[in-house]
Amino acid sequence: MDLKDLKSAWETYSSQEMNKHRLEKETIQEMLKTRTRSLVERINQNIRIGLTILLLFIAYVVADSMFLSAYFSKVIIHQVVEYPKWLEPIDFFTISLIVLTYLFFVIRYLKIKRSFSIDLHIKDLLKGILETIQTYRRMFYLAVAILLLNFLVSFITGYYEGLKLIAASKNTIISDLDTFQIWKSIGIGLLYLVPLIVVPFFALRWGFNKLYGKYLQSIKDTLKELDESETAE
Amino acid sequence: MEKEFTQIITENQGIIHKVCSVYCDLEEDRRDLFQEILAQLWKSYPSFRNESKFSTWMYRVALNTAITSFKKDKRQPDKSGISYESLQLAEEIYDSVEEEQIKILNKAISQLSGIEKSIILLFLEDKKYEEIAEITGITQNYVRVKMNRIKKKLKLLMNTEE
Repeated sequence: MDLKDLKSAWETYSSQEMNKHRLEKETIQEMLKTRTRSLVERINQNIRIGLTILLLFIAYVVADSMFLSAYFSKVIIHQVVEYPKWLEPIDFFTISLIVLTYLFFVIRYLKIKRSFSIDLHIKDLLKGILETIQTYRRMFYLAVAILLLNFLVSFITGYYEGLKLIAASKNTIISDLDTFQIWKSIGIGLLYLVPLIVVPFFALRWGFNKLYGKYLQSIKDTLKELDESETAE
Repeated sequence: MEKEFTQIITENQGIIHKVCSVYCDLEEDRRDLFQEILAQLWKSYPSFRNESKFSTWMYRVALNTAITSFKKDKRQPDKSGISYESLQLAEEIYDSVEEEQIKILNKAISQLSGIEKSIILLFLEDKKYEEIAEITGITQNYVRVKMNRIKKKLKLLMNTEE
């Protein structure tokens, strides 16, 4: 079959297909009423939900650090737990990092969203989709990172308080406690803490790749195809 | 605006059908893609500013939607080419030579990449390189290079079929 025959074959085929599938105005109107969302629109909605949850979580972390812990310790154990002074800069640094990362993330997301439109040229569109999905992935990691930092700070605080209580029950101070026992308890603490962080991280990564891995790869392949051909011009 | 949009889409729906027939092998996929393209056209219709022809803009939105559409694993198109429905249609309507040509053409097109499919579709629709470049946003030179490659690829695929 010659290439020139392609066009006539296509002409016949497409006109028959058109006749077979032609829709009336009313059907098109009906179809417009059905809510259809593309993958990118669904991802955008998930990002917005994710950002709201993260914002609430950050608000909780900040509130907890500022007054919730003190309030609950007063209500539950009827005494104000005094946290060590050296923990304050760590706490401040952690919260600042979380808030700044979140703000950076929101600004970046809004920037991508503003410039995204389905009628862009294909290369810009593919880059936009890639950035949206990667932003979504980063949001997962940000959520895990916030949890990680929060766990770590809570672990340090709790551990320190535990040591103080042990020391107090023995009528001594922390520095006089058995060093081996301290390291042993740190090790046991970490054994609990590591799976708490590692398992959700890998579960999220696996889930993300399962959902969007193939799609992400096909977008990358198409972009690569466009880049290769441009260099071959 | 909805009335105006429905009217213009009804008149130009052939563009969506052609894109669907190039990108989908299964009838179910075809319906979904048609719906998705229609939704995307409607959503971006307010941003259409008459800077280009309506058909150019419509081709761009339809092709972009088709290239970037998300197919679930269970419905990945098989690479065997022409759909059962299309074969039935071909048997009913075309003579054996045309039927054979359409089968070969469909099978060859189904083996092209997303970008290649968009270029060959526009080529088959008699669009000039300039317009293909305007629709896809790639340079005319690139369209030319790509078109030569596609022609070679199609020749090879079609010779194998014959």
